[in-house]
Amino acid sequence: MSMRDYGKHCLFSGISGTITLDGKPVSDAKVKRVVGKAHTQGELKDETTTDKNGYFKMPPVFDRSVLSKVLPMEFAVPQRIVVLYEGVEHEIWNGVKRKREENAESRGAPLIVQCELTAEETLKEVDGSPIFSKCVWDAEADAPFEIMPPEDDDE
Amino acid sequence: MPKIAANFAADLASNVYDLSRFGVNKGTFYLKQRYSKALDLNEKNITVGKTGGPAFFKSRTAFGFAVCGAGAYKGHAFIVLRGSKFLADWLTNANVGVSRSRFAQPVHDGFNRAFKSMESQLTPFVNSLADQGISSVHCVGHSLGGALASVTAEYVKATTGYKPYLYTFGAPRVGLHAFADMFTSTIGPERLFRVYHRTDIVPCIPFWPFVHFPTRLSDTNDYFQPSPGEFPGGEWHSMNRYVTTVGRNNWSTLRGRRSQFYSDSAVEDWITKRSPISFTATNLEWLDRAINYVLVKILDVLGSLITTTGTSALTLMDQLAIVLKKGIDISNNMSELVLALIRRIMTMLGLKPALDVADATYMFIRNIFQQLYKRVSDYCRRVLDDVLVSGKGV
Repeated sequence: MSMRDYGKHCLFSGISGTITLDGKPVSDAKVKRVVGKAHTQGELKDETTTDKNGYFKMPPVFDRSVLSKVLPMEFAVPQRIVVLYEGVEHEIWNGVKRKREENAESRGAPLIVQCELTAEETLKEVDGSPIFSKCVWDAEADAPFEIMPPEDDDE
Repeated sequence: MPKIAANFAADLASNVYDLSRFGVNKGTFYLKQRYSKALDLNEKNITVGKTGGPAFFKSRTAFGFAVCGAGAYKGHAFIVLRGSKFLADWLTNANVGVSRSRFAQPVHDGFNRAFKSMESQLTPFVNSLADQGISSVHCVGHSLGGALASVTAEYVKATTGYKPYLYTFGAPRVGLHAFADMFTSTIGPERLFRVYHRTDIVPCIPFWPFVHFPTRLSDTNDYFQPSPGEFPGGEWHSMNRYVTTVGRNNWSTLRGRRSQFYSDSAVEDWITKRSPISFTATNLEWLDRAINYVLVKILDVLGSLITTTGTSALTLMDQLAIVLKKGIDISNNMSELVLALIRRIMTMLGLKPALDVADATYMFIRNIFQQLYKRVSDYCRRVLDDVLVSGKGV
């Protein structure tokens, strides 16, 4: 880790991709992103607009909390993306990022999504981070959690 | 009664963080997808706040969910908790004192208040346990959530006929010795699963006079987990680390992983050693055991004086000094032990450990302990700072 990255953790990785409605690209749709801060109260917001091909691109969001108050909290950052198109809001992404690394949402690869606004929302868990989404992206989902049975007391 | 599998406990403690972010609908969906074989999440039950659960409860300082088991876990009930950023604030606040728990024992006021802030939301679930055919109750939490789970376990014990099981990962200390002792004896050490990494900073705080349970049979019910490094920090506090450590191990594998044991004679040897010592994870643990050992020895003679607690850390230091001073007056043997302990602390503080019995006044002892308290607090705060700065997070 270089000095430049000191105290830095990634709240939402850079994300890009296309948005469609009934398979057709949506242009001029507003893409609004909201992420919670890792160690302090509050949210960070940014937004962009899709081009004529339904393409959008947003940079990674980092938090650098060197000066923030010291709190012993687990890294569990809420992430949300809403698309505003023709007066209707579509939530396309609602997840909790559990790893600090950039691109944790896609196991280290760039996060490139394809989102269909009429799609059913599905829950995908990637490397411990659960994400409800209308998008598909190229990251293998975690294996289902195998719960072991209760253990008898050995008193 | 059976306990829940270690990997299940760790997974619940980890996923309560996600649930607190998702809200009720998505949270329930998430629970279903992940735990449908082990938890009862039938549609008819999914009414928030109704008895039987699943129920989500929330306050400014705490979040949790309560749910009954299914399949292999039928007859089990689960209460899983996490603390909030506001609660974390209290943990590092040296001015927060103690208040009375359900069993009238001294607990950290931050945890007590956080529990009370959600108690009314939890009550319907707890009161309905018998009607749900529940035979065992499990309280689970990581970090501050572990502290809240402890206070919740005491509440379940106090208000129902159940003896709950408690599973904590990297939890801080919840109360004073009287609390820890009472907690251990009423719930039973065999039901307390306090999992902690050797170099996790959070179980080190708040420092003395706060202590961990179980206080008895602790070496046979010890879920100490080795972790690398000399100094306690934040890296090994993360729930991810605990999930990895637990893996698919069962409880008997996770128990007794300590290479060093704190027998009475080993603790006495440590106290009376003359070698220099520094603030390492290992030494902090030895020091903790040493203070505990000496105090319990004195209190065995004096009776439980420390249970009459004040409300500030200063008052607690006063009482500690009073007890140790009385220890000096009890007998020559006891006096030697107390003086050796104080010399040991002086060494750790970088002071010259020259101390005669005549110098060991109440004021002197109090001063040494205040210095120690400050030193440990400063140290913990600095480590917590470093943890954040290096982006590892606690």
